[in-house]
Amino acid sequence: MDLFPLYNSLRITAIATTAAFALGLLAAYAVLRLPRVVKGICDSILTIPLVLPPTVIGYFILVTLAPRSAFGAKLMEWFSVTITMRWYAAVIAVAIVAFPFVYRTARGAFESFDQNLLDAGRTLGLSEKFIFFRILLPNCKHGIIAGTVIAFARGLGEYGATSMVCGYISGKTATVSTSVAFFWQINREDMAFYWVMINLAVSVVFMVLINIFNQPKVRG
Amino acid sequence: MLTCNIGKKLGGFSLDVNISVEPGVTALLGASGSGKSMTLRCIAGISKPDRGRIELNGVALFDSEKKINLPPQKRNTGFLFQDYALFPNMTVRQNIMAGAKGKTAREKQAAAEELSEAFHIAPHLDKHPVQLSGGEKQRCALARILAGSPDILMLDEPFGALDSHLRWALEIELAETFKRFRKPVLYVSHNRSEIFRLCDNIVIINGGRNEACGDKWGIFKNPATVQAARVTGCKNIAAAQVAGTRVSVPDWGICFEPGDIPNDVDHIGIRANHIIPVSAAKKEDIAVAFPFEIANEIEDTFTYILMVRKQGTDLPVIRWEIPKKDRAALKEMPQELAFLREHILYLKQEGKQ
Repeated sequence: MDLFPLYNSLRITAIATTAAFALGLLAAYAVLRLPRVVKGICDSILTIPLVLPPTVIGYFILVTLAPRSAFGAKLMEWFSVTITMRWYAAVIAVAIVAFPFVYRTARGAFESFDQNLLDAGRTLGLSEKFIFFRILLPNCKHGIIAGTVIAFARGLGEYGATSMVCGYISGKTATVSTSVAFFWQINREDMAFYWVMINLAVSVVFMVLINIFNQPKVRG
Repeated sequence: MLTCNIGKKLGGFSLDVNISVEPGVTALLGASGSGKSMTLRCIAGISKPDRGRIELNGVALFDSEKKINLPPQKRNTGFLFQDYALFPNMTVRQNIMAGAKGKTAREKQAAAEELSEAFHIAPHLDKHPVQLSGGEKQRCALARILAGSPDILMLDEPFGALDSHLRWALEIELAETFKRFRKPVLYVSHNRSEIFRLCDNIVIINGGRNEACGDKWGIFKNPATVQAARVTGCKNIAAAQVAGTRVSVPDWGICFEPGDIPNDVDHIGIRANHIIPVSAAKKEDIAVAFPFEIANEIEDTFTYILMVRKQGTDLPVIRWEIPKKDRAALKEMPQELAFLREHILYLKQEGKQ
């Protein structure tokens, strides 16, 4: 039995979640200090992938990165690189889909965080970097970890955008979710069922993880 | 020495404060929402005024004309937040070390050891803030601030988050800390007794403006404005009409000629504990005396509060506070009450726009 799709899914999602994690935290921190109106606008833009159908995200990625697109053509010309129909195209798709989960939970955690602690840090002469990494993040870690686990789980099951930007190429771009669809379409119901079970098993593991990290922990 | 002359608009509220603070303890006394805390935040640099200048020991921290606005990190001010703002993810030791800016790791360790001794929290060095009592939290926050040797210490309602039985011991410690600090201290509170015990000078803040300021005895003896009288605890304030040397107070149904009256007086006040029976006063000290009736009597912890008004009228009541033993010693109710000359507060209504 070829487990490549599972490996590929984990690889894609791990890289994409890492990117979404870093970008989501930075975006949440940046948005925190914006004036109210600008904040609302930025917030809407950054959250849009959450409400858009993934196929629309896939469409936008293809329009900007496919070899026929302006930017895609340049990439081809300068670096002889094609992004679409490769496994790393899915990394971009999954990162965009997963981003709002990190961003929103981080923003929520930052906003409910006692701003006096940040101000106290500043009056004590602590650098903004110290305040972010040593005060804000450690005290918001439960919310952020929970958001990241949800982002990872959502990314692992990503189908719409992934299938548009990298299709199903056995041993190259196949993922756990595209495998289910692929085998169903070619009437290999046994294989489709097999990948459904893998999806279910992975999902159960993640639900358990989410519940563990969502448990409010009292220090001391 | 700190000078702070700033303005800031916040929705419908406007802050317009001009104060200078010498070494010693200066209190900002005012009602909630009068702009006391905002003033501290502007000095610390965690809120930005719209205009003005803040100068500490000759260095401009903020100057709207010269476009100077030092970040809080460079102002070297010590700010004690009402809830102490200890970092919950760090131990007491780490909290104090975080405050010891510009020192090597070893010096920070030493500072944490030394300050924890001075503030009696040495046994708690490796605990987290949630494991501390309210008083220990305050000591830890003070130790953390003093670890950075600030040029000014600012305290925002430091006893606001504490049970009253904890306050007394901490207040005495705080007074000691102020004595050792020897630099300007700005103390924000709305508790007049606390301020009288801890502070040297008082600035009254009302509606975003500073009104009266001066040493505490002067402010309590002669608050000069209605708001200052109120926040220093004067319970009886009424509008007064002054014609020549004659003062009439329609709300209390009294009229008298006290002699010298300051200019522009439009209110008078009398503290509840300054009212006495005529029989207990020397005749020449009495400014005005009047027959009265009791509208209500309330027993307080150590005093009786009698709500009285001029006999045979429906006028607003005057609050008269009398120690319990004095109340017991009064065999029968006196016929008349007296306000002494030295006790009448002549006040101006200010901050009314």
